Amino acid sequence: MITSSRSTPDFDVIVIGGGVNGTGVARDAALRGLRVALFERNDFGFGASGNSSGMIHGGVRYLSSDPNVTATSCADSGHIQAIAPHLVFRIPFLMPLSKGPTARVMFDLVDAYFTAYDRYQPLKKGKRHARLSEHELRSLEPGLVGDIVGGVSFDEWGIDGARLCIANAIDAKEHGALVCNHTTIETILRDHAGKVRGIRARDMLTGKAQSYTAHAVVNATGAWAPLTSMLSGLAPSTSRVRPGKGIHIVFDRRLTNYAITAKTIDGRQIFVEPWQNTTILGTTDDDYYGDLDQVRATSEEVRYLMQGMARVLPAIRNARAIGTFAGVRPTLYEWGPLEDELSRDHRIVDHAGHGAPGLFSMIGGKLASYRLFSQEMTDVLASRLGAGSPCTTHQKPLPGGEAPVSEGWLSAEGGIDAIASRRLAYRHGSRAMRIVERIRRKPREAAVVCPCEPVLEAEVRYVVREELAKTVDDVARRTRLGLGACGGMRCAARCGQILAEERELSPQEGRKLALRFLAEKVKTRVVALGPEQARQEAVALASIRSELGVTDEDEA
Amino acid sequence: MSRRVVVVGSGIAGLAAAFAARRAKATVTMVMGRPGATTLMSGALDDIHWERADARPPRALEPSERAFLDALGIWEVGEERALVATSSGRLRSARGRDRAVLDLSRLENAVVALPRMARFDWDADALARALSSEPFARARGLRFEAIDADILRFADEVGLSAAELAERHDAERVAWLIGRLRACADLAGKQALLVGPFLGLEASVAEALTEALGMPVGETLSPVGGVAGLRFERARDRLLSKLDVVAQPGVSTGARGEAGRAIVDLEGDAMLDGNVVVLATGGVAGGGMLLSRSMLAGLDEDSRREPAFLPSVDCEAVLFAGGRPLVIPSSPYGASAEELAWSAVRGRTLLETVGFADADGWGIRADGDAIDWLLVAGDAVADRPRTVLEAMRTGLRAGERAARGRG
Repeated sequence: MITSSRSTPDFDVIVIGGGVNGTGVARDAALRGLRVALFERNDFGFGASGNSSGMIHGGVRYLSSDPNVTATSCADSGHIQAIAPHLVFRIPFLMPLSKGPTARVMFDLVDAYFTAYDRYQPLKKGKRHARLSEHELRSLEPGLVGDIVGGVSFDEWGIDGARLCIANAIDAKEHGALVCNHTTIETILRDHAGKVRGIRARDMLTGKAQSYTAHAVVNATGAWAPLTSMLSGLAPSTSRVRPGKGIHIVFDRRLTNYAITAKTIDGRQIFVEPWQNTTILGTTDDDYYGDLDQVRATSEEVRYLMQGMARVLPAIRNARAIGTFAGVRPTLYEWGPLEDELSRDHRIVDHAGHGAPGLFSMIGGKLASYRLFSQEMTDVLASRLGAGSPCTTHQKPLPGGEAPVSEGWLSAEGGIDAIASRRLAYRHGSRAMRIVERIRRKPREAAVVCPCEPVLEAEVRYVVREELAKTVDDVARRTRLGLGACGGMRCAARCGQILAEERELSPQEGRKLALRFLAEKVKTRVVALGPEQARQEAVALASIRSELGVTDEDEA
Repeated sequence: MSRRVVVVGSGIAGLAAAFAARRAKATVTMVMGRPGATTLMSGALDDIHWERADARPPRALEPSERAFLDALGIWEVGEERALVATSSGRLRSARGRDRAVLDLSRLENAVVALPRMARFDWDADALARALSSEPFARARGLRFEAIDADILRFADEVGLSAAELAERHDAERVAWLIGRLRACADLAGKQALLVGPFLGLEASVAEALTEALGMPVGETLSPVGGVAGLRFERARDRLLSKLDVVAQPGVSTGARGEAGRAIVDLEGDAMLDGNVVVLATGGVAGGGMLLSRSMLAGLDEDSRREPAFLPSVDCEAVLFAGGRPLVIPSSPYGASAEELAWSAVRGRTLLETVGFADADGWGIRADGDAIDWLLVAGDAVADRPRTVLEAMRTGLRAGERAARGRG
């Protein structure tokens, strides 16, 4: 057991990083009775966790190279379904196989491969794969073209990664943790013997700095991990990752019934998936050398993906792309292999070996196995601190997952339309009832702020009050406000106004929040611009000019 | 025999061109396709972007512009700039306004009332706070206050679109509204009344209220696709029938010069001919300039190398931006998409500048020669501010020239 020579520190554990691993550890440790603080430089789910393919997939890709990753991913996918049933939705995949000299052999191999994967499906309540003829494939997805010999189906689960992070962060908070977003760590403090004794944090919005002490500090900052280690005076190599950028293109509606896989020009597997009320095309995997706070898709990456998918689904070229998102995977470091071949396994680094006892780094991992990784990390912390009860994160529901919620009830009680109540139930599970309660007290909060999604005023106010949203971008991450076809033209200003009210800022500051969001999001949309969305961009710009005014000062 | 002018486009530029050409005794046919930027207008009339307007004195209107505005009858452009409120809580200057929009420029040290109502697009308290803290309001001592005066009549009006609510404002409704507001105690001591953008499909509703209550009553600007654009369309249709312009419904796909005539092709194999064509099809927002499909298509069998933008009406003229013809980029995938983001470039992006060259209004061929049967107007003109009054001005000029002919 670690004992402090002086007074008791502020916390048992300080977790740095509000991605799925950081919020997962904070929740686990808080549930076990540890005193926890969580600090996030941007917002929960800002990095890879909120910009992933939106699946807790079983890692079928890793079945031959890393069967361990497949097994743990599938098992944990099952746990996530149990603790957050509202956030999870089924995505059946189709994998068409092209004709060719080795096609029949390939088909049998793929069939056998998925037969092996079927063994893991019960772990995540998935269905077994099906071997499909060319005719069957085309009747399931008439848009498929090319010489297809047949294919297979397999089952995966979709999830909103940002909401998963937020649910974990909120649960940690409700179990006593100090949870702060928009707070960067400036220094990891160490005593004369090298032992970690706390951190100095700075609130990025107010500029105020404050120091906190703790027995242990966990670096769960994903691709930022080497940068975080450097704050303690360690070399970046002590928590090295191989940052792999992945981008996705978002289309304005569900284009297909099934997710469909395709091959890119360099033989990589990509996919298009119906996801919530949109379609997502992904993904790339490229070594990344840029600023981690400014990760954006480029037009070349967009064209690379479009080209690959159009080979099997040419209609994708006529679909309306309404945006892109990008993140950087914190893959385990290795020199040499191609990006796709890197392990998605995870590892805990105890920096005692580098002369910094009390500091731990979580390296690697994937969305589907975040809970397990968090459990492993918390096990280490609990045994070092000689405290804490056993892990319960696979049993205790996340906020909103406690009970099923009736969409019909929400709609009737709140007087809100069926689509809005359905979206509300998806995002908030049983806590959607709290939002409807707000509406019953203040009926005017049933007003639709973002018509594309849709998002109601009550939900915007709720995520500001209860889910620590502080900027328009934060609200968008929690509600998908402003991420639809209109590009925030109809909702960003109103959202800024509500934020200003809730945070007691001036109306001008609320407007600045809106303009900052609009200016940032347009950069993520233009890289995938097609003719229709180009017109929408011009209309949005004219509207922003007329309503808000775009001055050089605001643009800067 | 009078000259025959074909105007392609039914927004403000097309209407102004038709008006000027008719005044010069030409026969005019107007191709009326899809709604464009004027239908989406806010009700503010700008000549340059308003954020940059304050330092410069407003340009005085020319007699032809005055005559056109009088004929249209729904817009007001005074000697001085108007001061109007946006629906998101800004107070901004405008060269002119839809007459239903409240002009605050003559008020000083005054209190402007905003009625509270349960509409989804109207939060009187938040709006009053935002407007009161605007620099313009502080400089002139204007205060905005939410008052209790529910001016909705039926329960469904809480969720009705602004256009549908505006449509309900017939004479009987206006009489009801006047009675309601006269009886409103909260309105006493206020100097003006600011309402959401749904005060009728005609500006006369706001004017009747102004007269009856003895204080200026008007709307905020409309968000995109609101009532201001509808009012324009109704006024346009009245003016077109008064001018004896032949309205040709349809969408133009191409225009060409053939044996001294100008020919306009319409969707569905129909065509029109005349002495000259005025292309007033709008910029990117209006649908006159299209982003090339090649931006996402790449090297398909049928792809062509082409500039980033193409006109929606295929004609001999080339597109310009920044004073130069658009070049075909060295990529089969089109221009660099990144540079289209308005927040990534200083000033205006291609989305706001691309169009036909405006050397005297005549379209320009790739070889640099002017096309003697093609005039361009409105947002279809390259490098001009995409504002209503600028579109009107170029429309009037193109209409006069079309009636006169080149040279």
